Amino acid sequence: MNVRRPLVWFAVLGVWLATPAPAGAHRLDEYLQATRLSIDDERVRLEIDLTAGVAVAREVFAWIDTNRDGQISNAEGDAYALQVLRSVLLSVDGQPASITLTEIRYPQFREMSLGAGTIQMRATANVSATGAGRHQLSYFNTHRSEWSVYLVNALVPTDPRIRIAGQQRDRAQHGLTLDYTVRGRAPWARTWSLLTLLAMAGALSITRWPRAGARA
Amino acid sequence: MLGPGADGKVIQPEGILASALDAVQQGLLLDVVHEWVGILNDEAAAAKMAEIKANLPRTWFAWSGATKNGGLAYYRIQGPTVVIEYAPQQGDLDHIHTIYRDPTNDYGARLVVP
Repeated sequence: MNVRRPLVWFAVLGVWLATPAPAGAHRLDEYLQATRLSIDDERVRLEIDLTAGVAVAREVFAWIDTNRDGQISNAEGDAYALQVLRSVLLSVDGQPASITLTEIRYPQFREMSLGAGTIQMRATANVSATGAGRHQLSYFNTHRSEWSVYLVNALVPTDPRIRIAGQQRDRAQHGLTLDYTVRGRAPWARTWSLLTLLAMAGALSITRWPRAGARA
Repeated sequence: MLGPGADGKVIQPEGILASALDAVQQGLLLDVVHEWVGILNDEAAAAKMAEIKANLPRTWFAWSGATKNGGLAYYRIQGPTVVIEYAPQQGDLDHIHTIYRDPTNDYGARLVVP
């Protein structure tokens, strides 16, 4: 009886069990673009996480690594981030908002090729329409739509004066329309108004104070 | 939406508030939650379920997709101390992505707070 054959099979089985499964449980042939939006007093913050499935990771990496040296340089990374942001439309109360990149982090190609590496992009847009009352924000992302699936959600505002009243998405979640309300004015605005009032009152009292020479 | 790297994030709740469900529906919702919480030992699971039950008036249930047996649908259960997402992938009921989080205790953070 050959006792070595079962041992070989056990060894093969052991190696197979010990080999970590590739992150193939993720979307294999899609580029997942997940956006979280947060609104505060004067700006909208965007957190865009981009995750390529294992079957498309090589192509996605090639879009970014334009000189094909296997590394994403700062210039290549920034250029790609701007390319993404140019595909994003953001407006508040119908007024387009300019989006500025604040941070971009790229995984290594090995992580991306396993479907586990996520490109983390952070951006901000200053908006001027967040005075008290009802407002509407519109977000639309068309970056690489032939390759992509999209998710988009709002985060609960950290400013208690802001309340989200409703979210509507298109079926593919390219876009989100967000209705929200702002109560009262920001604390800094109240402080500024108070300081202005005090300064005016001070100036007025100095102007009206009779000088000693004027009494005689 | 709340996978790795989204620690401590709270997305805007959507769907129906559990307080708008009747007692039977609330029981069914808790049964679904227990599918995740039940992997804890009995004592820890009971404590967690009691906490989630107490927070039911502030817990939301959102559903997106088919409403027939065997259909594909995403759902999310979101309360003050629980977030569950269930997301079938690529049209396959045998390929599910899911997360369970306690946004007040991500990775047991509450356990090490002095």
